[in-house]
Amino acid sequence: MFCVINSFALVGIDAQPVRVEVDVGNGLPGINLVGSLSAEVREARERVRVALRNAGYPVPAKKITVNLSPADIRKEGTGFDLAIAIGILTGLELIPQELVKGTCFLGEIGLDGVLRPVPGALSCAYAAKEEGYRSIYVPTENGQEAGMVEGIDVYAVRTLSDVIESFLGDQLLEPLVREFHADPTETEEDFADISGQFLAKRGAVIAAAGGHNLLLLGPPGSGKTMLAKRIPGILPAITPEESIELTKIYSVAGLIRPEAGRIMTRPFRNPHHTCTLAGMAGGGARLPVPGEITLATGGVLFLDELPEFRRECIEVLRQPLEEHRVVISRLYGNYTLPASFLLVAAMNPCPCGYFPDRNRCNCSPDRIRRYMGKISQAVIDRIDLCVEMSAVPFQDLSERTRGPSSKEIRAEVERCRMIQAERYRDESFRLNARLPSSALDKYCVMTPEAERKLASAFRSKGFSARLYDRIRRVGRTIADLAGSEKIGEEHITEAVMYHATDIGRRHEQYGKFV
Amino acid sequence: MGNSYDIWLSAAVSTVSHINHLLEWFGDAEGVFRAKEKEITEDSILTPSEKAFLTSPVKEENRNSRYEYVCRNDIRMICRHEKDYPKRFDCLDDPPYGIFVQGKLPPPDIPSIAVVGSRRASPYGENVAELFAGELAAAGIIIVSGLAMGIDGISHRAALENKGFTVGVLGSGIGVPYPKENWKLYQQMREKGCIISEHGPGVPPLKQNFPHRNRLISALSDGILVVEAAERSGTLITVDRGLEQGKDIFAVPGRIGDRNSEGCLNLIRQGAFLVTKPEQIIAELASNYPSVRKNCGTYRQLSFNFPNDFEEFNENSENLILGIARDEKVVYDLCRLDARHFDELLSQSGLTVARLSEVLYSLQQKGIVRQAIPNYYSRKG
Repeated sequence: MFCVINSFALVGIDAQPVRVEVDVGNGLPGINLVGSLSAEVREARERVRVALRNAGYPVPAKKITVNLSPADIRKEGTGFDLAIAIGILTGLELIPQELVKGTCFLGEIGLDGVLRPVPGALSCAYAAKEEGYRSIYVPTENGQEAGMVEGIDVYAVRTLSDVIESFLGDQLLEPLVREFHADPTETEEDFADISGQFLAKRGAVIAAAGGHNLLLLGPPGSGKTMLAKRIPGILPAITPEESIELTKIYSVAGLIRPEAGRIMTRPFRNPHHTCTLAGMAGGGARLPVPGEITLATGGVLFLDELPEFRRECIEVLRQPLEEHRVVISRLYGNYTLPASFLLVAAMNPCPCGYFPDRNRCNCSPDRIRRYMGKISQAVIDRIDLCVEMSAVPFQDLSERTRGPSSKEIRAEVERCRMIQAERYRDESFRLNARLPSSALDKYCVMTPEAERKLASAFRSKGFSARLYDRIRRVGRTIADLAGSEKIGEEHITEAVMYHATDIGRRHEQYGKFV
Repeated sequence: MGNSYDIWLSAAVSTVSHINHLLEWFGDAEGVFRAKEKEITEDSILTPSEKAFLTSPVKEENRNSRYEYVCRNDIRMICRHEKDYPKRFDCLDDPPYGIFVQGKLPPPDIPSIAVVGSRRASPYGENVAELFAGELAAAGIIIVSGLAMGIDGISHRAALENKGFTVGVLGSGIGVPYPKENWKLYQQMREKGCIISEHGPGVPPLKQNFPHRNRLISALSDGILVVEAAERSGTLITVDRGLEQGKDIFAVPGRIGDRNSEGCLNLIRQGAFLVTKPEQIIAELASNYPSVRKNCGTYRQLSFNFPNDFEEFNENSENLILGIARDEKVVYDLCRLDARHFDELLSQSGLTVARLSEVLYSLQQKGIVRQAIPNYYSRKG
């Protein structure tokens, strides 16, 4: 007999419906799996056969053909096991076909019949709801995750027997009761912990408010990492849509622990500088595994020791920084993954790290220049803010004048983002940092004095035209933070200051004074 | 004017004593060129690389290409016996066989000062060098230095900016700028100043040639000003040569405890002139040279005089301009010749980030404060 069972395959971070067609007929006995399958899907044959037997349903000597359709997309992973097992039982007419209609199955089966969790359960449950299915069966460990989707019954089951029982026996399964951890957990890391570093803190606030990428330069121990870690905490609270998307990403990457619910805090990704290209951008030989840039979506991607990263790992940031997504080409197709993050990079000002303290730093100007030159101009052009931090003197540490807390700063940032959202309500972007050059004249109106100051700064410092646009964007955010409609003098002079550390200029500057 | 054989010889052999040795045997440069291969290879003094160059199978091409290079680039070669050869080199035990000159030679009756110091200068050293070299140049004193990074380069630039005359002595061959970052400076000095090397075209910057070069820097100067030097700095070689030649040594003191101050402080302890203002050097030289402009009126101040009526300034006054001026004074007083980070100025001035950035900007526009390193500010020397 022929029957169809519904399941899902992951494509990027989204799931696509897959029909598991099973036909049981006469012929040479055996189970045949077809439909563009990877090795682990094909191995389901053995797992399913043994698990069924151990559950008390030995597979009879029939010719069983299983087709996973559409047959032209590559199926990977072990999530089809459950659907195949249920399909065989239905094909053998042990389970009535009408019972499995409108429901779908996801999960790996062990030989003992216990269901094992699979990645991407959230995406599958989400797609199941979109497709209009009534219910979805998932392994217990995936229950919380899949249960986040409303409008569909989620059954979290422990073993294959439980599933079969729920169709055949009197033991009816109860759909999962949803538990939401709705409050965002306040991070322990607070902005108020950072003493001194006024300029860098201010830079971080501007970065968070306008979505500007930030580069921190400073000697070891000046608190670059400490500062970067606190930036997700001052970004606006995560929205429900962002939370779902983020949870999907982490679910696909297999990074969600079973007990954790939906992700309610903005991510802070801190890849080590030995990170590979695939680790950064996403990749993997089979399913595209989300890379760091995707995992940082909605939060902060922190690259400590920027010049130490492999060049291609930095170059690959160009597309995401521009388009806020990344396209990964793999053998079985192209996958588009979201990659909309705030880039915070940190580096030492010289190879030894202590420049300009000449008592500790013995780096020659040439070495410093070469160190700076390791970073590609293309990436530098996408970093709006650049702050040089000084080593914190002891007295500052001991005084511990506490600045505003993360909560207070977040309120300020949210206010500033509201102003931007209001101003750009008819546009495709929402943040100052994403202002295209063509719209700068329209939105970045300066007072005449500010314009004069900017013009004279350009004359005296020899800025490039590209810098001009970046300064105006930053000036716009500074003015928004001050609640000013026009960009005034003090906003522009401040914006100019964050460009002083522009790497390109550093080269020139060192050239001039050394 | 040296002939093509002289040029070839200067490119082949870097050490003066070796050149003298060869000339003793072969008479003149042409004689060396025509020497039999065996005579060269069996010599006991020459180094292997010198022998290789002197007996090179392509030495004819070497000679021609170098001669062409010299002609094409307006380089003059002045040999020891010529009348244009600088008299100042008479004090040397080992005057160069010939010198290559680009630009015009400094007139002998004008005083000159060598400004030397660390190649890894601190912002303080950079400011001091700029201040002293600029002032001295404006007073009509020739600035001599070595075209290296750090203090050397800054001194040359400051002299050019003040329309003074400046001489750069290379440790590499003529036309070979080292470090290459100073290529632009090299070109400017070729036009407006003077570049001197005792090595022929194409001689790479060899480590052993630089200490030797320092004897020429000190010989060309009436005094040596040391701006910033570590305890064991190459700068001190110039000072030693200068002392042998009987030159005055001036040293600018630095803070104790700073690595870059040790050299200068040691010199002062040993009896060098301690200078804190360019005028002190100018006064010293003016007694011997009437051409020095003692009061040329271009002296820059180490401190900028703001109007003094801030005391009457009323907190509630709406006079915005005066308000900025007051903050400017506060911030300027906090700035030093050494660079200070924005945060330091911020916490000590009590201004907001926006206001401080505005004030610093305006001070920079006035040309009295500069951003020595991004986000670090210092007074402009």
